[in-house]
Amino acid sequence: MISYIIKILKGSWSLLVGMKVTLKYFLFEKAVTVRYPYEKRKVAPIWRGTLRQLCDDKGEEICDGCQICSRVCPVQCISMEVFKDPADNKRKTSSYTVDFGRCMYCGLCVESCPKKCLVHTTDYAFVSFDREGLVLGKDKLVKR
Amino acid sequence: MIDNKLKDKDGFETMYLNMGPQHPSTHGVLRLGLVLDGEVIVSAEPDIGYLHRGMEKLAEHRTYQANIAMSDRFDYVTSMNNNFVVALAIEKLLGVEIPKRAHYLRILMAELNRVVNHILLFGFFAMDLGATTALIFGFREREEVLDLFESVTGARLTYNYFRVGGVARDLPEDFIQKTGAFIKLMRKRIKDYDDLVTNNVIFRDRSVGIGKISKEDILAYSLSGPVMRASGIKYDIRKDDTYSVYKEFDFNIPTREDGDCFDRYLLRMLELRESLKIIEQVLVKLEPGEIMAKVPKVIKPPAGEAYIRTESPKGELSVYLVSDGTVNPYRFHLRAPSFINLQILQKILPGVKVADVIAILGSIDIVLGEVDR
Repeated sequence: MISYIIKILKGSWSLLVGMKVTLKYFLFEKAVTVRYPYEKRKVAPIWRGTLRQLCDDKGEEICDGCQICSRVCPVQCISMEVFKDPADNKRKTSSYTVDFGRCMYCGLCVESCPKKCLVHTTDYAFVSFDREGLVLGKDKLVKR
Repeated sequence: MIDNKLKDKDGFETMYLNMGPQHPSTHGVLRLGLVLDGEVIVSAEPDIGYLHRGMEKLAEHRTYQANIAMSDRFDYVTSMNNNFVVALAIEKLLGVEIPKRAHYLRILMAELNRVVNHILLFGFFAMDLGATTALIFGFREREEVLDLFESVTGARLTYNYFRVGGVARDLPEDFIQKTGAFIKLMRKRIKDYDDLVTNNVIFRDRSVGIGKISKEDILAYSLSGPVMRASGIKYDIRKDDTYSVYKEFDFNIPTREDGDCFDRYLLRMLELRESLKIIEQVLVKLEPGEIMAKVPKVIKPPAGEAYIRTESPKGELSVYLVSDGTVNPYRFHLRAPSFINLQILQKILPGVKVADVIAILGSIDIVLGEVDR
């Protein structure tokens, strides 16, 4: 009986010690959470978000359709069609699509790009109402 | 499927209870088929496979570098450790030596991820026993490490940081200072953890003496990691079959004797302190230098096989990799610690109460992504 009472007292005391810890954070520390849609926390500059294709100073695409990115992709989400432009005899892409429904944002494509024209954005909230909306073509991907 | 016509010891009918796969305490999609006599378990059968993605087969159709990216998804809590073992296996096949700084960076990341895993265990285990505050505390500290990871890798869960022959990126400028601050903060917070959970009488009553695993069972079921060390077997692959440059660091391997839920929990808290010690030493030893060895652009290891064992936070994580000389592996096998540690449930669950099932499951520390692969 006595040991039972001692246990109750010890239990209450350990509860109070625990309460002290939570109270310490409740009273003296700032909240660690962020009210998301109203305040947004900054992501790292190297954040691996959705992909974009860069252009040179004149607004021409840099990508020459070497297909390394589509070959290195673990989930084969990049597809492109390549043709040879008779005007300047250079290889160019006629279409370039990335299926972000499949993309696993591993960043291997960006790392392997020899022209350094494929980059990640810091966008982390890319959504769509249907699957087709997740497939981006050249009109959305190329950043002029 | 268990025969639910099992009779209890008095000859009465038993009850069959499905625990999971949507039960919040089964850490994912684990189904436990429990046969109950009142509140006591007569027999138990874990049913796995709800998260099966066929990762080992998928690996045969991916290049070696892509396999490191895929390995993030095995045990999604400790992606860095998964990266580590796959990268080591490929390097063993290729026979490349990686630079010193890359070794240190790898160990730094792996140990930081061990800290994350053990903090999460602290949170989840206390949550399983009914203490919600601890979960929030665990996630709060995890956030600090995730911010560090984010500044190095650009991702918060699937880091894909290791490359064949080194690591992807060098540290940002303020990383070392931030990590030092984190270690200081963490040491303070561990004291709070002890006040809040470890020394709590109710917590001890719920966990001391529950789910004891004997040394013989550990060996018979080939359990590994903290579960093994909590039963008194002092074996850590980082020390006993060392890999990378772990032998340069000074750390202890904590062990406990009883092998019950409380010991398994406490052992992680002790390991957490050792990991912080290793991280501190890495930060001192880091010197500027190369982070990538010279490897060919298209990785085609010579035909052969490699087996690499590492100590992941959950136990012995090993990879068996067979190459036939092409760009894709011929066979990729993962020895997943969660999967093997889970098998002990059938042995230790009969005879315990339903509420203790949650405690035992939580203390074994499984991640279903790794169990099902």
